Amino acid sequence: MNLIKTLYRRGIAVTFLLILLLAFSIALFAMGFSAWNTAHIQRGQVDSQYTTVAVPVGTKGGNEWRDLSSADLDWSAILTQQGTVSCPGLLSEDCRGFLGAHVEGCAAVGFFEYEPSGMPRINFDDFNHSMVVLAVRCTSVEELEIPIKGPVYDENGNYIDLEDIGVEYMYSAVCSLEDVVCRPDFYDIFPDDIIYLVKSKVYTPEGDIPFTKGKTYLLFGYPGDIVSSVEPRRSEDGELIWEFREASDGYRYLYFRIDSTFGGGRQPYYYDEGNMMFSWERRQKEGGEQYCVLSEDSLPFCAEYTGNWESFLESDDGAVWREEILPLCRLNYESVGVILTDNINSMYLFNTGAAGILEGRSFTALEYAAGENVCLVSAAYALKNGLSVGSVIRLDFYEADLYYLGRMPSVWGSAVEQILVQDPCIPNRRLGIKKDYTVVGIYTAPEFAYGRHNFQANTIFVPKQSVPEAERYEDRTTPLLYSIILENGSREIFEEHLDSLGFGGRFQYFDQGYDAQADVLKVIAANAGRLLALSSGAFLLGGALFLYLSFRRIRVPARKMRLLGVCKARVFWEMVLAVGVLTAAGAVLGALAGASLYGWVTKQALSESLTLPSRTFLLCIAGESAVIIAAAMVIAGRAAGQKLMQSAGRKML
Amino acid sequence: MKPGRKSGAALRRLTITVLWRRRGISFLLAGAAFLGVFASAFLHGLTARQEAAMEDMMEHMEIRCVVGNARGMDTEHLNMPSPFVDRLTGRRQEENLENAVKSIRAKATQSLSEPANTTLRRILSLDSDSALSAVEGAAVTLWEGWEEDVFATDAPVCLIPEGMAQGREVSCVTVSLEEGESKELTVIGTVSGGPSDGIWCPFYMKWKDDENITEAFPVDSCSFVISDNSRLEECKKAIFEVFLEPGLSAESGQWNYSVMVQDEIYQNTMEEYRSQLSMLGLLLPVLLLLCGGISFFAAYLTTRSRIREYAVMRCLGRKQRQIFAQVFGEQALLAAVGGAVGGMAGFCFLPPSSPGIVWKAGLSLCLFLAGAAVAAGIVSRVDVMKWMKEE
Repeated sequence: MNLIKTLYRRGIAVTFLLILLLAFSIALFAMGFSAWNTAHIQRGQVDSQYTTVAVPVGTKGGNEWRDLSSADLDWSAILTQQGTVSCPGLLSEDCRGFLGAHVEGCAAVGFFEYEPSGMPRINFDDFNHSMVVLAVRCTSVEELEIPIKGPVYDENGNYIDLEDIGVEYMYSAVCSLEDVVCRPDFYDIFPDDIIYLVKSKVYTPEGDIPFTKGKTYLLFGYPGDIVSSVEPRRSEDGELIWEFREASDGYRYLYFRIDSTFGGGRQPYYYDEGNMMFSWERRQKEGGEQYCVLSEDSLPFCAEYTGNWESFLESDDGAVWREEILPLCRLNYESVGVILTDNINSMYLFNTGAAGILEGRSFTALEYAAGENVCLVSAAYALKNGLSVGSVIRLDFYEADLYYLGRMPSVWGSAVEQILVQDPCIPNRRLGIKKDYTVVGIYTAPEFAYGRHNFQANTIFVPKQSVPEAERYEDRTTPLLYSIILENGSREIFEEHLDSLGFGGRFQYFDQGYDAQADVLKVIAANAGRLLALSSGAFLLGGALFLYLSFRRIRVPARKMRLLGVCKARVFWEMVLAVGVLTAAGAVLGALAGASLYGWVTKQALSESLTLPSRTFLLCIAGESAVIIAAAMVIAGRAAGQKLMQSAGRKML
Repeated sequence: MKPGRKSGAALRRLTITVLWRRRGISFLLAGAAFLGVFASAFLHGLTARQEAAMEDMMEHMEIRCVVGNARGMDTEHLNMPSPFVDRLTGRRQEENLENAVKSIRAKATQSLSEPANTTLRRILSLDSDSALSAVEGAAVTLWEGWEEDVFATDAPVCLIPEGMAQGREVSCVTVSLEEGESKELTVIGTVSGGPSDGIWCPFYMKWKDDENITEAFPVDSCSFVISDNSRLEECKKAIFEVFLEPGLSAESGQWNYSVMVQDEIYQNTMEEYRSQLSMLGLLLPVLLLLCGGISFFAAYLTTRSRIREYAVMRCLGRKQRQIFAQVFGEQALLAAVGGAVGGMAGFCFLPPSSPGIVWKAGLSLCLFLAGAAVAAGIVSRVDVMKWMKEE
């Protein structure tokens, strides 16, 4: 206490100025440190707005469109095998999930509502939106014998050629439309006089053709090959009109598909004895000829009726049509594809700007992390259903696979263009997860376009975590659903690493323009470091001056105390206490000055999220005080232990 | 030697001796002077560097704009008359946007009757058609002597699918529209892996050689980049004089096309940078003031702490003026040394032209000297008797 009194007695003004000197030093460092901290937060915020993705270069040409789902494109597996998951520059993989969903009260957008670029080649509505139930009259039936071809191998097991190994029966039933029982509104383009050609190899269990000339039937299946039967045209007022071409006999025809199979999907939905709607079995006639019959658990594709179809539907025979088939159609007319994502900007179209948010906003980091029930819908879908930002839609999820359909060009036939289509929503694949999602944004993207990374207008995006066990629905082999996310600015080192593993040149990189502004971030980081260095220097200088001047003021009284017989320890603690009090006062003043000045600066210049980081600030002040006290203790130790026989103070500091 | 000059020399020697004997504190004081001058230059340099980096970023960042229908949809199926693209490329006399946009991509597809079942794809650049991108599996090979730039001209050239060449060297292809026009195009390269029913030609390819300007045709897709981001608002204004701002509620007319300017990330980034710059702008004077304050207190307190020595000098008969001169001289010398070193060090951080930096450094030094002067004034006027009584 003696030394504190001394400081007080020997000029309170000077003591106050000493405190101010320390306060300025402390405030300066605290501000420099906070600015450094703020700059890093800000750098992180800017950085987080950009997503750098590595997109695998597509496989070239060939008819092997199935390759797209092959292991060759499972980059996730390749990276894991190569131990590159922790390779430099690799931040994460965005493995998106895919589900179907029924959205009550919201109709799906149809391909024929939009004009394609050039001639349409594939029906984008396949297969969930194109199922129809028609009442038809059979006008003629013809049976066809189709040779079955099988591979021939040489004695070494090498493939030589295909040769006929048997005969398969199929039939062609020509039907005229009686009435439309169930059809999506976008197929109202079909003229009533169109003739449906049912080509199938599925017979009755007795082996008979299920159609008889002159009888009426309910028919369930898909209008096939529409795109080759129609042609888009614009009316004078710009309205899109689809015109059906007339065949050479003057009639207009449309195929009707039942037992077509589509490769590229997964078991058990796309195999030789069934597709996503029907399943069948092969049977053999006595002569060895093969034909197919529907399995017992399969839905029927036709049913004969007499009178009117409404009465048939009400009858017991029509129960399966009434209770299963028609609800299934209506369910799918309101179905969408749902992509579960953790980062929408990692998707090729969004990353490159081909898709963008038209209204509202994208997901926030918090929404991704918390799995909030928010969604993005396409402009086409929103427009059709009168949705806007803030609308709430109820998604009832179904397991559904997403797969590619390839368009085979007719001329030189080496390359294909792909489109992505999805499974229909089928009751036995319903997940039992029904949730209300709020539309937070409306995106625009090519509604129906070819390409491995294009998604259809009926696609809704939701945060992945909003669906329980979302990982189950991931598909790493579909380019649309898998992205490799790199740390911004690290594509060179990632490519170099891949190159060293023999995978060089297999990716293209997109960074949303990060490269153009990476230098600014570097400058900000460098500036922040410089500011911290300057303020540290100033603090050390000010602190040293403070300690020098403080000890200079108390060295004589301290020496006198020692001469009067006060023990070293007490003198030491008195000195530490005296300087400690000054330090505490300086720290408080410095903190107040720094906080108010920095607070003012950030309030004027920065967004709310970057106002004064109080915790960082207080920690910094505490650290500074600790440094000063520690230095004071070292000096006080030396001062308290000074040799009393030496002249006063010369060697004290 | 004159007595005055002799005493001056003695004073300087004394000053240097005193400073050397107290080299620890002398170093700290010189450091305080250094700090003020160095900080002035250093902090000024920070702002300048950041501004320069931002300007560089503004120059190189690409803000993509995508043309859609009035509602911002149908971006791949625009059916937009080609004169809209002419305005972007500067081919029209009126309402040209060539100063507002650059890197224009546009694609138009026309069905051909010859070769059968093929389409003619007019493109302004190779990236105008997404089917030609590597991520879709396509690879374009331009034959020797040909550059991508040719697609921005009206030259009668084309790219053909690799399958069409079938290993042969095809030098030209005759294309015919269903409407009857026909043209022989020189083949300049092939496309492998892409759609095999397309023939790609320059966007402005003319069907007839005597045409002054290419006849209008419908365009499927179009996008471009803002030419100068520092004039972003001006460019947007010019764009929206020709195109609409997209919105779902917009009236979709036959000739109404909108442009979605994808500047959200750019704007957010710029906002962050501007606020950072603004923070630096506000922070730097505050930090300079604090540095100046430290200099002031350091000079004042150090001088003030030597009051005993000056009291003794007074007792020995030195005049107030002489004491003031000695004390202030010591501090001025330290300020000169510290300031010079600080100036040299700070020079490394300065951009080439930095008006205003001199007065900032001068102000900082002045604060240091002011502290020294105030203290020197006090100590030179010390009342020895009073001071001894207090001691």
